[in-house]
Amino acid sequence: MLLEKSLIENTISYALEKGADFAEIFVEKKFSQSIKFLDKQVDGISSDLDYGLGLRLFLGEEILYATTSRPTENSLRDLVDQLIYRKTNSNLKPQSFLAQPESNSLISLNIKPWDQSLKEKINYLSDLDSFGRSVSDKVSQLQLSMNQQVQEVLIANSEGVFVEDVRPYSQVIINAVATDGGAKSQGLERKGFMMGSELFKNLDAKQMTKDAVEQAIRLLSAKNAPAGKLPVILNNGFGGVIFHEACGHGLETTSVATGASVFSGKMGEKIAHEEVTAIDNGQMQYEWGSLEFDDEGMRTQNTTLIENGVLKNYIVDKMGAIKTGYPRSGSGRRQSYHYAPASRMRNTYIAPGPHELEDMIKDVDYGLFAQKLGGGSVDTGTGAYNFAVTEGRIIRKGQLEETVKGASLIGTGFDTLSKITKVGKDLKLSPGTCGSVSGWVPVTVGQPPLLVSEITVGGAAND
Amino acid sequence: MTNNESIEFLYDLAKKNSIEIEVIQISGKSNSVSFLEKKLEEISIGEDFSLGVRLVKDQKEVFFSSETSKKEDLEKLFNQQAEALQFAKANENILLNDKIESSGDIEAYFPEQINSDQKVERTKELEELLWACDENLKKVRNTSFSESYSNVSLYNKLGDSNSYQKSYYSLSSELLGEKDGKRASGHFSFTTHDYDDMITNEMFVDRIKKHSLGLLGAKSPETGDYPIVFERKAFASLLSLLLPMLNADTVDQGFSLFDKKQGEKIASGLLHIENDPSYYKGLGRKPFDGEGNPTKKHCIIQDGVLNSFFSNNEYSKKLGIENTHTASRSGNGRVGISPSNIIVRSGTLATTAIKAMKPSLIEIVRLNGLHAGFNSVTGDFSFQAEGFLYDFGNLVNPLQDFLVAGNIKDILMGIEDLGANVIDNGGSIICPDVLISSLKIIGS
Repeated sequence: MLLEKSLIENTISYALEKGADFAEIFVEKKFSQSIKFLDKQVDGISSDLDYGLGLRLFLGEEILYATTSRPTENSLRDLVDQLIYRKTNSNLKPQSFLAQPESNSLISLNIKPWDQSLKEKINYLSDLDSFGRSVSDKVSQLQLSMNQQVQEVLIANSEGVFVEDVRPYSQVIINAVATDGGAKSQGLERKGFMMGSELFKNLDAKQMTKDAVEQAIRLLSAKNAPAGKLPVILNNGFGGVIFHEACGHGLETTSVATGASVFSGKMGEKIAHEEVTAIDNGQMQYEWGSLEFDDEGMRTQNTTLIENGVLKNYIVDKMGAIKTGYPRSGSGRRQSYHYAPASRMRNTYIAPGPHELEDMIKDVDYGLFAQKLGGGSVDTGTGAYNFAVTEGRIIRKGQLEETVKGASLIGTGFDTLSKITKVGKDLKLSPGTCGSVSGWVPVTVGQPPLLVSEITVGGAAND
Repeated sequence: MTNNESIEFLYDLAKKNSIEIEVIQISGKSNSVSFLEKKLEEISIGEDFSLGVRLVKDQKEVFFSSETSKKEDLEKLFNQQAEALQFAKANENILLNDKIESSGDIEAYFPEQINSDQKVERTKELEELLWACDENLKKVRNTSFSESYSNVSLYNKLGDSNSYQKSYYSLSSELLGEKDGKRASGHFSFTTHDYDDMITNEMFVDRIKKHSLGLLGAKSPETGDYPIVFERKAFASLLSLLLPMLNADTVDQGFSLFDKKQGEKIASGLLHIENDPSYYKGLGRKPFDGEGNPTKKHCIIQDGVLNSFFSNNEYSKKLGIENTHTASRSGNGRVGISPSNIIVRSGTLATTAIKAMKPSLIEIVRLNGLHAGFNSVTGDFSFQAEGFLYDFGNLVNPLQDFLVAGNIKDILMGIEDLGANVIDNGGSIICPDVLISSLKIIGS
């Protein structure tokens, strides 16, 4: 156990005695290992151990939060004293801890990161490096990373929650640079799952490497992307970042509760094209954004956010539920014990629709096929979002033509959701990392191909 | 174990294993207060501790870090990484210092200048001022005051140490306005290491209004090429993307477009940028770098010409260039390269005079999506932007819903003038407003 149960009980009892309405302890121990391969050789081997405790108290709707990496009886009582420095009137008693809930087996940890030899891991990266360089003599650099983490958490609160969880993460990142004369370009592929080292046996990392190299080579001769308001087909997989940015953040109660989100007060209203159904699911086996239990100790849910264009649910954490009255969705998340939890997305995607990609392309006279997408950001108050296309293709008269370089796309969530005119059949998911008030957390984004009738494309082409 | 006992334990382990080590130990405290909807929203306090360890043997190196000082955890990590040394690459350029030299007594530590009640009161007053600042205000979001202070101790291969302290005070808020059914919002923060240098609440309100409510009534500009003034904070954000490309490691690894450009003109002759680790108001002030070298000034771009890249022990030796003493080392112990305080030389004309020289000039006050819209290998960028349209210095209207796109080289070579006023940004990049002759704008 990450911390003695009696110490947890005593601290929670003391916090309630001092007047807290709610007390929660989050203990975390996280082992991370990173191996980097560059210039055909090992470039870095590092290991990190994070350990600490976050103590969260509620006084009505006030949040009091303290962290320490050296929790003792005295240090925790001292933190409570520092947080509750005013007299309060609450006389609540803590509830007895409930039994640990059963596991839904969302993860796989057959081979722990520290049980696979370094030699084996380095050979794996070395093989990928040799393979990647054999794909083309235009490859001038390959940077390969193998990142692994095992996060153990213990979450207990004054309402009887007592949950222990283990969350493994394994990831491979391929960054290829191609050079031809004076031209230089980059291709990037990443895949990650909630698994131990068995991931590396199951993953087709050679295909990933080939994809990264081929992307870099295609972009060597690519022209600038076009500029202006155009029809855009957003490819499946990481294309889902558009929903994540344009809509998902605005559905988190962190924004909704204050009425500042453009989606506040829209429950039950039609906010998107009727072909759009959007899901935020924390219970998908092995997926990067899954969690058996959220960081508030609640089992995560499969939450339908939008059904056939109508807003059905928000993304709700504990404080969000108190402020808005909407039920919690198991969405309280945080990067580490350094952060108080907040409502955050998990595996968020648009459900498949009825259309073939080929038919969607045929619908476009002149537009952009956003083939590879990068990250983005949103202002939840105005709904204005941006995200990057790292590689595109021009569509002319219903045909895919030349490759173009990256550009950002901008718009507002409401406007873009209403302009999704066709939803494709082929759903794909992609891992990512999302930054917000409670730090950086692993998430999955996803969608089938989407046809949007108009988005502003920020390419540098002059015609 | 206490902090000192942890250090002694690590050096004992190193000695037994005939391994050389360097250790960085960072410990500190932080706290913050935030108000929302005219009520106290959150109070937080934190204690931080980390040990970052570099192990070197036979010119090979590996790293580990720990937030716990438990003997068994440290021993396990040490042994694991000691074993990993055999798989690390041999690097003849690794150089461990045998002394830690300071560039002087840099006073930048002013902890606990304000007590808990004063923090709550100041933040509450600021939020009240913000709520009353404009009739079009819809929401004041997350007004907060935060404070942190820390001690950084570097131990060299002999176990000798030197340390310095850092303190930060920060005010931040975000306003959301609505007029005629259209919204505009903006975030502003100001950070300083000495609370006496913190701007007043009234100054804070003035600055945040321009970047938020000032954008109400915005239009989308017509697509085309425009002269652009980057307001200093927006230009500082561009420089934050450019600077890593001027680090010797990025260049050597093939990830920078400035490879082989040393000594060449890469920018307008008006651009002059130096790293000044001793600049009093700069948040990056420090007396020695991450390897124990005394920090010093270094001019990276002199009248448009690229000087020696920023470097550390390894890359100055490997590339045969000047050691600019800009080794960075965060709590995880890894050695990298990073300058301290970047100072851009100002021009002679006030920004208002610069704006008055041009018709259809766009002032950009904020760039969004910086992390995604920039390709560091090619220098291509495409950013969502917000700002104002001017005609010979007269404000025409605020601007939103547009992008600026091009290549970072176009910006550097296109610098036509720099503002005279270098107002402290509250950061580690200090620069004036900058006029670029022409950039592509994509709007309506």
